[in-house]
Amino acid sequence: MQDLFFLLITIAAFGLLVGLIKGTERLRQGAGDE
Amino acid sequence: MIQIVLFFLILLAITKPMGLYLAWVFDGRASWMGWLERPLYRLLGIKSDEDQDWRSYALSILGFSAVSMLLTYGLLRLQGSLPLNPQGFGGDQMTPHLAFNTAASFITNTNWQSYSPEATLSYFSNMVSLAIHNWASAAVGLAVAVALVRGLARNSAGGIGNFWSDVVRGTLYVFLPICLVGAIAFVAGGVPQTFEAPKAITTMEGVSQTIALGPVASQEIIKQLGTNGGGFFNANSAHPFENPNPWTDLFTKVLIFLIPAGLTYMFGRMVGNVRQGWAVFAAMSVLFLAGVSIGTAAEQSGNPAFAHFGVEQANMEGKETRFGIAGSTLFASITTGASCGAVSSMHNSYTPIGGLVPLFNILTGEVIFGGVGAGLYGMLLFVILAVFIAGLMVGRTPEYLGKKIGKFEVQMAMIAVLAMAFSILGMTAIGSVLELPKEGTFGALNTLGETAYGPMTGNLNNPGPRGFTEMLYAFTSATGNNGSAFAGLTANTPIYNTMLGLAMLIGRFLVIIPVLAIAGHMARKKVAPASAGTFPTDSATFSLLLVGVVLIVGALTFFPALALGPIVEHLQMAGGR
Repeated sequence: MQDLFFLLITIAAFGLLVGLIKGTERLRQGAGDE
Repeated sequence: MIQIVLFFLILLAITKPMGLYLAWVFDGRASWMGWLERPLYRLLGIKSDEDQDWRSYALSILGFSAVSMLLTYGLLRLQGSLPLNPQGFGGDQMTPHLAFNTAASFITNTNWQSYSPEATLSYFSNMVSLAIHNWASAAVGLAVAVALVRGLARNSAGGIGNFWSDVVRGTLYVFLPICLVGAIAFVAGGVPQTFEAPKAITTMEGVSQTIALGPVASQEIIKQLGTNGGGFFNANSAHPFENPNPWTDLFTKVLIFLIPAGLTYMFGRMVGNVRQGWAVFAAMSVLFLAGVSIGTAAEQSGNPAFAHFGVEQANMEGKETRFGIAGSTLFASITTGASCGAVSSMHNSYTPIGGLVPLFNILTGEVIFGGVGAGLYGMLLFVILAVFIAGLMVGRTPEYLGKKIGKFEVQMAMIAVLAMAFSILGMTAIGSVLELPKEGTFGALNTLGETAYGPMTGNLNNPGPRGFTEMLYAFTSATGNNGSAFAGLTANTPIYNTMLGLAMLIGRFLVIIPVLAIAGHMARKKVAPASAGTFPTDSATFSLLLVGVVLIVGALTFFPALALGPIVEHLQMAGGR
């Protein structure tokens, strides 16, 4: 049970980081000062 | 004092050759390990000449880290069924929350250890499950720094390099040769390297004692070179088998700063102006020498309360006599300036100001040479802020290395700085007030029995400001991916292991992602030639401005917390309390 809990925490953490990369790329494209 | 000067002179001497070598490796000219590199690319399916944009580079890091973390978690939990386990350690020693904390710790180059390694880990766990990350996590940090330097150096480019190739080249050309030679040097200095089980002996007093042994030298070398810091023994570099004598102590200190210092020169070389690298080196040196001087003076002065007893005032508590005060405070400044975390003395035994120095070093974001790669990319974030502030002050468009610093770069630099502050201060605040219930989710997670219930402050060994410092240091060390312990905190509980593990992930990836985004954005920009209006960033003035920005950001963000801990404790000590 605890192993499953920590497995889910790990997957959730990395999932959020992937989302952050996508959000940052949108912000970067919107900056438009290249 | 002589050893501090000697150490700095050695550092100065090795920076240029190491930087030249790193530039040779990462601009692709080095090929003497091609016989191993090329088959490895074929085996792993790596297209080394494929240039990745920042998003692809960052996703590769995340994928690599996520798989590494899950694999490490599984291997640690299953250590009882795996070979090289003469002590018979199993899942009882490596509980789920401890395995989560340890896996997060080692993939993030933190190497915080909530456990006593010799009483928890099998040789397999030490050598395979964990030691492999001493290499891999350091190689990832190095790759990120190189990617950022490429982003700054390139002109209207879409890519920032190939992550997989950078990791392989960093491992094969940088870590492997130095580790092979360095491990032998450690063995020559008296560090054991054996698979024999621990020895049971009878001491001269007739007491039986178990002497822990193992393959120490091979871990010790990468532990220091990769600024990892996780010890083979609980006493870390204070243990005579990890750090037997002053010679190995000096060797260890040089190893910790070897790559971070070399990276500053590599940076200057790759952007086509070595003075830019020396400017960063100078700022790091000023911060380092100031810290070690303050720390050493505080420990030499000791606690004035001892004067009443007519004993020596200098504070030798928690320090090895074979290293002395200067040797210990120098080590403490190096290990916390870099994100190493190895310790040769117990930081919790330092005077309040002596303990403040290592804590402040980590709070700056460990940019005082810093971790392998992490120090340079952390300092370059401060460079962006310094250039931006300078631009505001003189009314010019901020630019660095011929490229304009825009809103996006400043936003990313601030995200990295604020993520660190949010994690350190937020988690310390939670830890200061949270009481764990016996029932419910936290109760169900608990595997350690009655002692883990109640307030989180119940795990501190000291009351008042010293206790607060113990907790602040723990979350600072985890978020900064340092890994050193102030000590005085029993951290092997479900709540601490979980929170500290999350702090490590925040401190690592919420800095790496903005750094790579900056690299990707800067790589696309055109380089404009310097003009009369360009603010010079390769001068002593800029180095001092950079020092000021690091200190002000650190002081403004964390001063209230430091005032509640070491500063008020120092005032109490000075007042005789």
